[in-house]
Amino acid sequence: MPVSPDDSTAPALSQHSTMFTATESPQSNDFALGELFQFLTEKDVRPQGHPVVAAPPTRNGVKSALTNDEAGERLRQLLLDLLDIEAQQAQANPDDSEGEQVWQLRLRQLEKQCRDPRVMGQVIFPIFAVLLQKKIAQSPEEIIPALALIIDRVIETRSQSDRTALSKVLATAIPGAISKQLGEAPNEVIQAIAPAMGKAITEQVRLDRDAMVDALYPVIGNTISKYMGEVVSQINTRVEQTFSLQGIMRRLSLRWQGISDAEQILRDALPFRVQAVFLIHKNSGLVIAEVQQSGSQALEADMLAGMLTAIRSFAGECSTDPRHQSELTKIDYEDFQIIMEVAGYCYIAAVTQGDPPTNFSIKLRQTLSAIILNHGYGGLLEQFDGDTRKVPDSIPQLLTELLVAPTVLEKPQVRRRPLPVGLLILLILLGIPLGWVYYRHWQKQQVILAVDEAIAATPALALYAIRPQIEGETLILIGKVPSPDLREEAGMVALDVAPDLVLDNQLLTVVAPPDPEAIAAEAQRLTQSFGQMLGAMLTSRYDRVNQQLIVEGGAIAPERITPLTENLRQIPGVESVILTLSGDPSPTAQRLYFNPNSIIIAPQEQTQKLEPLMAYLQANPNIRLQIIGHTDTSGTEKINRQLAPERAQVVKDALVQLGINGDRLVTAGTIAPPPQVTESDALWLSRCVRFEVLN
Amino acid sequence: MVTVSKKICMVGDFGVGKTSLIRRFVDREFSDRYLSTVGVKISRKVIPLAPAADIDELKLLIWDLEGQTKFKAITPTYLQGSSGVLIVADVTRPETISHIEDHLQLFFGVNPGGWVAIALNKTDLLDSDEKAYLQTSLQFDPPHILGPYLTSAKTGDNVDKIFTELAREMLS
Repeated sequence: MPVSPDDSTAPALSQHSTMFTATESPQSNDFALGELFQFLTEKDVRPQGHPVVAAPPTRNGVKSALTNDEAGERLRQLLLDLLDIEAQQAQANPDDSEGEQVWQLRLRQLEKQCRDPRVMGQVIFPIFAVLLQKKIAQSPEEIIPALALIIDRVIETRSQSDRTALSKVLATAIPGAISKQLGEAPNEVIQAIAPAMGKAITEQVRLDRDAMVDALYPVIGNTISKYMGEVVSQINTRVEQTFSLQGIMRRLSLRWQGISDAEQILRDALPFRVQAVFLIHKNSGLVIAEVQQSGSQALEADMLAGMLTAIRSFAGECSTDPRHQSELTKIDYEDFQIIMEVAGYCYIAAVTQGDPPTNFSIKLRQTLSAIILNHGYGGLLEQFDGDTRKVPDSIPQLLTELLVAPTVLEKPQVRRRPLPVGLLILLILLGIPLGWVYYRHWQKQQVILAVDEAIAATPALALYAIRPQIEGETLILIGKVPSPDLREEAGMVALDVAPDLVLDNQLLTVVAPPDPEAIAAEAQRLTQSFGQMLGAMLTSRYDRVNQQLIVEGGAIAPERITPLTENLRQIPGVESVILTLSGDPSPTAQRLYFNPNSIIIAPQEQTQKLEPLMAYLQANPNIRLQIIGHTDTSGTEKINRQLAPERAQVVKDALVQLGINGDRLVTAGTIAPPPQVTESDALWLSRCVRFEVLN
Repeated sequence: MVTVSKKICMVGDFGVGKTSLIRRFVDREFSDRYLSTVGVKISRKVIPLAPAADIDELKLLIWDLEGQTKFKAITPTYLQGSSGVLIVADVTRPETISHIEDHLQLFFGVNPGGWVAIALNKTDLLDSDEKAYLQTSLQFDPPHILGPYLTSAKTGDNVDKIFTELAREMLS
């Protein structure tokens, strides 16, 4: 508050100044205080628009009437008052020229006192803090450099002397300080704290596990929720796709592979990735080639390969069955796995993340096969000695494919090369004979068709089933025709069409079976006439299924049986004849045989044939007999013509003598042999007498 | 930069100092604590070679095999593909020295063309007379055998030497 010297505050000033020096006028006292203030505060409390009054030069000759203590006390009082009226002081205008000399003197005295540290100390002590505050408020940049020099030492000294106190003081400030710093330069704080974070958490877990669990629970829960949320969202997408045509095809494909939907969806949600691939020498565990994903932390190939090989050896040693060498194919860690594909001298180890798809193992095999096929010869893999200069560049290139496209299978482009050659050879080896065989077959079919047509075009043959066949150079005709003429005709027709071929006419001449009833009637008629001729009652039955003729009746002479059978079999449709004859042969069927040129009936002929005939005639009085004499061809015709009727007459006479009416008996003679006897037969068969029953 | 890798194995009875030799050679450390090796431990050491050579450095993959005891023999499978072997015996246990011959047969049975270096370890426990006696009393004649070297994993005596000389022979 600017105040003029004439204000009501002026008397108060005067009072104080009197305490300072009794001999001075109030005016001069005012002036002196203003100067003093100016001096003490230098330019800091300089009033605006007022010139600075520099401290006058010191004069040693000026003496103060006051003692040091008194002066100090007064000065202190004065300064205290001064602080209350700083502005007035500043605006006080000491332009009174009266008593200037006295002021000058006073001023010098004051000046001298001010140079005394003890006095000044007493003076400044009570107001030092206030002064400092003022100074800091008005121009902090001047204070800071001064304090900066020692502030660290101050804190250090303090912390050594009383750590607790300092901690207490700083405790309130540090959290705020960190908060502020986190806002302004977060990286610095993070870098400062980070190294200790792990240990700090570990220590906290050790001290109070439950608190840590509680603290992390919401975070971990949220993390998992978020992760699972993503997975569920992917699952939803999959489910939606399931209803598309693509989805259905995909599901069918998966079903076919035996993969459940859930399994596949999880697979899709946790993508498969190959981090590194190593080709490792099986025995030594040395790395032949390696490729790793850029960006991820590189794996120690040598150590990993060595340990894998050692583990494989160990697992192999532990194998329960020494005959069967089993291979370690996979090592599963929580979040990655090492998949191995083993060949003879080397194996591939792939470090992967996520669920490996089926294609990957196939791809591994393909890669390993390619390596072995391309580089397995010459012992490069077998005798690998750790010198990677000998490893061709194509091996890492093959491994890189596993890294970049782990599931893209190599379509058999490489394999296609040998295929055409193989196919060509196969076609040549198989195709030509096959073609030739086919051509020959086609040719035969054409000839067969032509023969068929020719036969069909011949009216006499068209009705019959004639099958032409060709075997080699032979034309075979198979089938049945009713007559040999037709058989021959068929052969001629076939040869006309295929004149180059040899004919093998296998056509059967088969008479078409007549009507069974007609057969039965014909058989019956013949049987009866035979029976009459042979003097026996014969009947017949026809078995149409077996084409058999069953003849039943009385006995006939044994020598007549065969001719009878032969005759009956001549009937078309009769394949066999069964005779069921009862009793002795009919006496009328008997023949009496004579010695050469003789008409004497032999005694056994008399008893065995004539007497039974006599009995038969007596039993059948209606029967009339013609007695026919025969001769052999040995004698002259003249004698024989005479002899034949004589033999018949002799037999008639014998029968009459036995009591048979001669009217029932008619005689005849012939030089021809009897029926069923030919000139080639024995002569005695012709020297006979036979009987025929006359109706 | 041409680097060639070679596998070597450490073979010997239990407690002869195989692991300690590797620690001295690879890590430049030694500890008196006895830790039994179970199964296999693999270490790696890159040895720079002379500038004139066509190979710039040799990467040694050292298989530290579990020591042989009377209950458990060394697994021959581990020796497969090994260019060299370091057979280690303990100078304070004569039976471990007498087993060197068995280890030689085992190794040459698996790798007929390999190289062998023989280390008589723990020589820091012997005085100079005993060392001199050992040096002269033990001789191994067949080709492809280096040593015996009197080594001490504790003091480092001959440790670098035995590894580097074995490495040199394997590369030759």
